Amino acid sequence: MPFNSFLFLLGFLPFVLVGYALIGRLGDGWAKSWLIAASLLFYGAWAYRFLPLLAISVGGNFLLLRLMDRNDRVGGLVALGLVLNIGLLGWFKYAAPAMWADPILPLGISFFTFTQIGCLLDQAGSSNQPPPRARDYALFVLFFPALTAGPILSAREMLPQFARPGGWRLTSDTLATGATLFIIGLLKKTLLADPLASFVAAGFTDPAALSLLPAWQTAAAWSLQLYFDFSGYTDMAIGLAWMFGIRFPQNFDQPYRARCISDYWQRWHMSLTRFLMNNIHAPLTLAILRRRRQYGLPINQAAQQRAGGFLTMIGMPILVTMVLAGVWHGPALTFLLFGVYHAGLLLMNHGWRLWRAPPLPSLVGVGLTYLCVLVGAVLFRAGSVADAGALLAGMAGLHGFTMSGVDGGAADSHPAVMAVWIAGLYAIVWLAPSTRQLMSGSGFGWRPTPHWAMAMGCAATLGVLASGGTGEFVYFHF
Amino acid sequence: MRYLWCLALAALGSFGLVWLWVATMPMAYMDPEYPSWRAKQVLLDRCDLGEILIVGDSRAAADILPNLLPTTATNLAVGGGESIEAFAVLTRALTCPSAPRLVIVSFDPGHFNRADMFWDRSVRFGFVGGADLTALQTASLATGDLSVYAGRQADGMPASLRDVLYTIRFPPLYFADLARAAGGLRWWRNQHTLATTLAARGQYHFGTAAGSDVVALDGHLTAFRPLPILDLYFDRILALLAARGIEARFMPMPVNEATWQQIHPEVRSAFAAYLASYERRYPLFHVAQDVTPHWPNRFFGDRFCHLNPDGAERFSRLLAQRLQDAPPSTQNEAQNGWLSETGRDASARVLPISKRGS
Repeated sequence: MPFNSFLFLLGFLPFVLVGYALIGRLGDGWAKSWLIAASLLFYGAWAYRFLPLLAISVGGNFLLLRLMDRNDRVGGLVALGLVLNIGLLGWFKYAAPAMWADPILPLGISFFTFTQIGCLLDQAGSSNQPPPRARDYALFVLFFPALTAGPILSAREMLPQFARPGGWRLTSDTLATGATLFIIGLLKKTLLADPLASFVAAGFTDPAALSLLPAWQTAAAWSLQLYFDFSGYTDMAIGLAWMFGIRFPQNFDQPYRARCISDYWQRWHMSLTRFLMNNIHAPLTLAILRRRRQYGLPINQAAQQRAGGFLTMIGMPILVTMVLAGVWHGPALTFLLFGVYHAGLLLMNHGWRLWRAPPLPSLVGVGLTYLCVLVGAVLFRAGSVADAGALLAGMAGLHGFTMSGVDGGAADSHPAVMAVWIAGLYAIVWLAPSTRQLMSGSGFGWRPTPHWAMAMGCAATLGVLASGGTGEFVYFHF
Repeated sequence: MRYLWCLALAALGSFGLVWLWVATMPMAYMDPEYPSWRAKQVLLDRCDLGEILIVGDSRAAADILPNLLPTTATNLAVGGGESIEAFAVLTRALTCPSAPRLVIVSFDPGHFNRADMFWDRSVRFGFVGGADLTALQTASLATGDLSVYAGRQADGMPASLRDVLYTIRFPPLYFADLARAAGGLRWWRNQHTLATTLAARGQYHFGTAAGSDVVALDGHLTAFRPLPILDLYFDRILALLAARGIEARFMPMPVNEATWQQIHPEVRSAFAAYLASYERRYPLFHVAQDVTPHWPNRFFGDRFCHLNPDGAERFSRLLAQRLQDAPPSTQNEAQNGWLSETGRDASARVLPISKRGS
């Protein structure tokens, strides 16, 4: 049941909101229980066969948290939790595809597993923090706006919200803000991202046939589809949570306006980046620094500027983190290369700073960063390394310079129409305010006025209309 | 709270207006093929059908010009049409006061093998209605073949709900058309197409190029395996006509040389055997000997082997001649092969009706 499906928009969401408004009157516990039940319904309607797996995962992790509270051997329990969680994830994401021809990946497994791993590590790092109550923990992990594709919630930030004693009521303020955010996300998904899908799919079906312009159009269209798909999803998830009085962390901040690649990663899928930084990159870096210190090796900036120091102290943690980030998307060589490629870019980025090369002008920085991201996006989407190479070769002009287009199966995928469409989307990416800026209320920003209500009401209609036959969110596949 | 009320009212009001538009003005926004389908519905509604009905897929829709046939005929074949649409059309046609004398049935092998654009065309255009869908659901469950009925699940809706939404013209299902028509700019063009198709008694062209040497889908089929649900409806068509004593002729439409050379021999023989088995079961059902006739590439207008206007005229004149020579219920083996340029043209051995006596 994707957020943009009729069932969700016209059935599930109104049902859950009405139920929440009514049941919330009985008390906070009832309201939370209702949301847990609704989340299980949301998941079960989509992937009922994996409900037991979800229950075991949540129950098992909760049990570990309780044991950690009562036991002095916290490290061993955390290690056990990590092994079990990563084992479960690894089994379904990597072992099952290797053993069976067409295995089904449990929906959202990466996201609920990462959320729970983060919770275990947070709990282990804070000695005096009591474990969450069962209902709060269940709601924290299962809460349907984040269950299937994130954002990856930090227990330290989010559990206090789920454990808060009051405020489990539907209020007009939260509903108005949440609904507006949700509608904006719906428009991004249905009107901006999905119309590109058939064109992109056609281009990636036979990339070797694409000459210069169609190859660039395909790559650009894909990067924009991904951008608006994920941006739309994020707005919708944040908006949904807001309706129930929960504030999700920011997860998307105009990444194509990044001036360098490390800036990009701080703007794209921010909760995943933060998870990887906190739980892989930072511990690994600290371990390497401690090890060097242990052996009497320098760890200062001068040492980092030497090749050996750079590769050990900066290169190794980045490479490991980005390779894991790459293969997290799936057991494909293209994802591995995607991770290695971005690790290379980040190393160049760090080297540039470390050796104090002059900063690039903003426009050049943004343009260059986007180009690097675009190449990575081709690796990310291509069905094989050969396909990725073929498309990149086409972009380099190695397949000729004819104007033959991509047959996206519809008249509106004509190259000229697509060129105009893509240009319009780039204008939105680089010139339009972000959802956060729009919602901040400054200037022409959103305010809960009748005019805005009328506009958002009509926008909601447009979003629902456009949701007919639209596809799943890209990140639902991970 | 005022904000939420305004938002809800604006959403409901705008959605209602769009729904009204979608329900009442399909000619303003629908796909350019819609008016051709609509023309067939108009002819059906008027019971203005004549003695010969043509049902089948897009090749039949493009290739047979009823106006060139010797008696009043109506082409009710539709793009992507399968036996399900043909059965629905015939059921409706047979409620008219005067029944046809002959029904020409024509599907290419691919339209037995796979579901085509059932939901995207037949249902969305309102050609197949709620009762037809209910019957299809029952038949699909009975045969265990949900390939047509549940063929479009990307929207995540239960099939029964989808039926209802199509029946009530739920606007999101028509959004792509609305967007491409900028709301309603297709009105004039669609009205023109409707008038043209009505004048042509249901025939409408697809490709109009001066030739095509592209290998159509027929050339890529590796086997002929009819879907159980399409087979069931094909049987229903023949049973319906047999029960009413109406003659049915299966007339395969020609493919271009390029396609013909690629058609797998096993597909050809399996297709012929399949039709022959029905010919044995239903005495009023006749099948041309050559089930994959082929014509020179120059007569084809697109990559799907639709005849271009010249080809369609030539084909229809030939058909008219043969119908004149051997009108309904006078079929004999001599007719076999006449549709194929390279096939056995035995028309010379057909005894003209005038010389047969009563």
